Amino acid sequence: LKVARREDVWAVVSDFKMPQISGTELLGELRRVAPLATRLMLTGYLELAVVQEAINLAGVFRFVTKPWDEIELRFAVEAALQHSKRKRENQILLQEVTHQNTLLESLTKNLENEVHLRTRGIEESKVQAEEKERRVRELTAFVKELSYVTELEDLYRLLEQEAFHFPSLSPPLLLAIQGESSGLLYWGRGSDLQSKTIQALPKTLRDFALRSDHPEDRRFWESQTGKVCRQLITVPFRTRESESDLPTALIFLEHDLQKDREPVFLDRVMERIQPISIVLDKIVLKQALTQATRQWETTFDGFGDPIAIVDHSDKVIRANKSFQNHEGSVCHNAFDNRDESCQDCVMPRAFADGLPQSGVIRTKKGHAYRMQSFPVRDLTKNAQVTTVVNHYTDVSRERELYFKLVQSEKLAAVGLLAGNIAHELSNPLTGIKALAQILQGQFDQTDSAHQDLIEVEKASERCQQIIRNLLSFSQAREAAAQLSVNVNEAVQQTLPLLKTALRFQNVQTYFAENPPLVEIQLSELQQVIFNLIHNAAQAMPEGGNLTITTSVVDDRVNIAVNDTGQGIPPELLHRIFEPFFTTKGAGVGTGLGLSVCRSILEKYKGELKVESEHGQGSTFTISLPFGTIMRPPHSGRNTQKS
Amino acid sequence: VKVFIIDDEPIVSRALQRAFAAKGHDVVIASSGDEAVEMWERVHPDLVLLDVFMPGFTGPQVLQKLKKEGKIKSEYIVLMTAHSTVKSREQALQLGAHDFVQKPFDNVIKLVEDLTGTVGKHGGHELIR
Repeated sequence: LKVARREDVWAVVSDFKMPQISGTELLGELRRVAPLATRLMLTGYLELAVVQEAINLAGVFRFVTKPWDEIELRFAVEAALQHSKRKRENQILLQEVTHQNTLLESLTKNLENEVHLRTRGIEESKVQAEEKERRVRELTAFVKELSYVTELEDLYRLLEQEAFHFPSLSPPLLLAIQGESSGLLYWGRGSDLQSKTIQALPKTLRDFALRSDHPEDRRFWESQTGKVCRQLITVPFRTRESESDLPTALIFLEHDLQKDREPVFLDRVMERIQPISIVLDKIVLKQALTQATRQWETTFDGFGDPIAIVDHSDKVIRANKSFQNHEGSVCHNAFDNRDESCQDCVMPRAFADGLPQSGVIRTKKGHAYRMQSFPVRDLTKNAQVTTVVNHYTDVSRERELYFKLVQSEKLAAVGLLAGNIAHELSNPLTGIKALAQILQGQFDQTDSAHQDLIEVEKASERCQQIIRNLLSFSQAREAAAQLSVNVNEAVQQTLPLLKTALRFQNVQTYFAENPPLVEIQLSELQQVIFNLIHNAAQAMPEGGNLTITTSVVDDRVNIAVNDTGQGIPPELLHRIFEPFFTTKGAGVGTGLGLSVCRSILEKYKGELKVESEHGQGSTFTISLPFGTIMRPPHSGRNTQKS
Repeated sequence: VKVFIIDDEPIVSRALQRAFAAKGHDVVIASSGDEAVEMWERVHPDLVLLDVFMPGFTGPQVLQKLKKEGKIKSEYIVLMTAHSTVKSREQALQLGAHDFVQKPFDNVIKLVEDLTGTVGKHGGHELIR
């Protein structure tokens, strides 16, 4: 038994009769101790009872009778070993099967679990998917609605509609921020929608994402609604365009949600932030655009200068008010009432070269405009120049000043020249005239020589007059004594001198009542008036209306001399004040009259202006300042004998 | 009255000479400022008609020179110019001229009468002598 307990025994051969323990008892014991060992029994005789007991109790495999035959015993042991081997193999197999069964069992169990879990998962995700689908559907509907929103008011109504999904939500507050501290607030329900401008915004609006129950927001909500705030979520919206860290708009959501409903609610809110932001962007951009357009238009119109956008066919696409507002018509027609392009128009060059162009054009009324034409390229049309922006600057005054400057330099030179010429001519003329006078006395008045000498004297007098003009021209530039003159009187005293010249014309005078006195030498003013009236008479050789009007404008007194003659062609208008420029025939004018007039007036800070429409007549206007007290008249010591 | 006419324009001198001579006055003519200075003491005039603008010595320069040399006594000196301004008149009078006439003369005969009449009252050399 000890051995069997210690060793792996395959077969046991035991005697039937042994001291202390019988063979049957031993083998029976061994059956328990080493069940895989095959048991053989040696016995002297075979009794049925013994055999029965041995087989039943000890499971004896075979009996070998004593004395045993060597071959028989070996055969029996062989068989016992074989038997034991089979038993062992069987047991291994059995163990294997059992193990596999166990595995199989656990696997099945796992699978069952798996299946159970999966089934449950599928059921759960189906609910989720449905929920998600519903949410997406709602969100889509919301976004679709949003896409129609163009005004803050529409946006508010949509938000309010959304709020109905949560019964414990108050009508939301929508606050559109309009500046550093002001905003437009929308609040209400249904037709009760109110909007108002808010001046005192919560101070802590900068840079936050979304906050709940901020004390300042609560105060703001309560002050605006007059209700007690339960819980408050503040959602800021920012536009991409915004440079400031202030949000574009805020939505205040006052609610009384249970804690477990809050995540669902917040989810919903978060889902809508992005689409609302986009719409707010749109609204803000639209507002900015509207404002910019209005600003642009105001600026455009505010420009004193005419500006027009013109296309290839000279059609005015857009123009400001200064451009006479003839939109839709062709530009030369709108700008200067012309049937064809203005002379020297730079627009064709701007279209052709695609580069800004500049030039001076003249209107029919004689105004000079610097015209700048800026080509505009249409990037959608191969960057072709489709339109030009024309900007016109009235340079009449500028050019007038320029010409005056040139003229005054010319005049200075001419004055010097005239002085010299006058002197050179005066000397011989003095002799001619004096001799003619002396010689007249030496002939009888009936003598033809006496008459001839009178003609010589007359001719020399005419020469003297021309020389005097030249001299007065050169002297006009020198300062002279000034007197206070009533312009009405100056006109009245001058007109009688022109009776002959004005015999074919209707003369009308319109005098300002008590015009302020102007500081000028009466004779010089008379000379100017004389020249202008004389010119006017010459402009109407067949008769016409001569109108002389005195008026007071601002700090100046004006004397306007208007004729209904032929007028002055625009191209000559700026030349008429040039010395020696004359349109009159030889011997009729020296071409100094108007330049002398202007020189005289300039000496007294006066001006001489002309307006003329060809075929309609001309108006020359003397303009003299008043209000400056000049020194008392200086008579000089005139000791000339005559 | 002895009249000294100084002018570079011969026709002016000639006309004046004829006008004064017709009234019985003596006339001496100089055709330039230099000549006038040179002749001055020899001529010893009562009335001097002096042109302002002349080549060489101008009228005012002639006056200046004579004044400097102390040669001006009681001659009645009249400046003549085509270029008459208040300023040039003042200058002339400061230089010692007594009068100023503008060329061309309106009426030479009347001018002669006026000037000789004035010289008479002024007291020419003849009266002093």
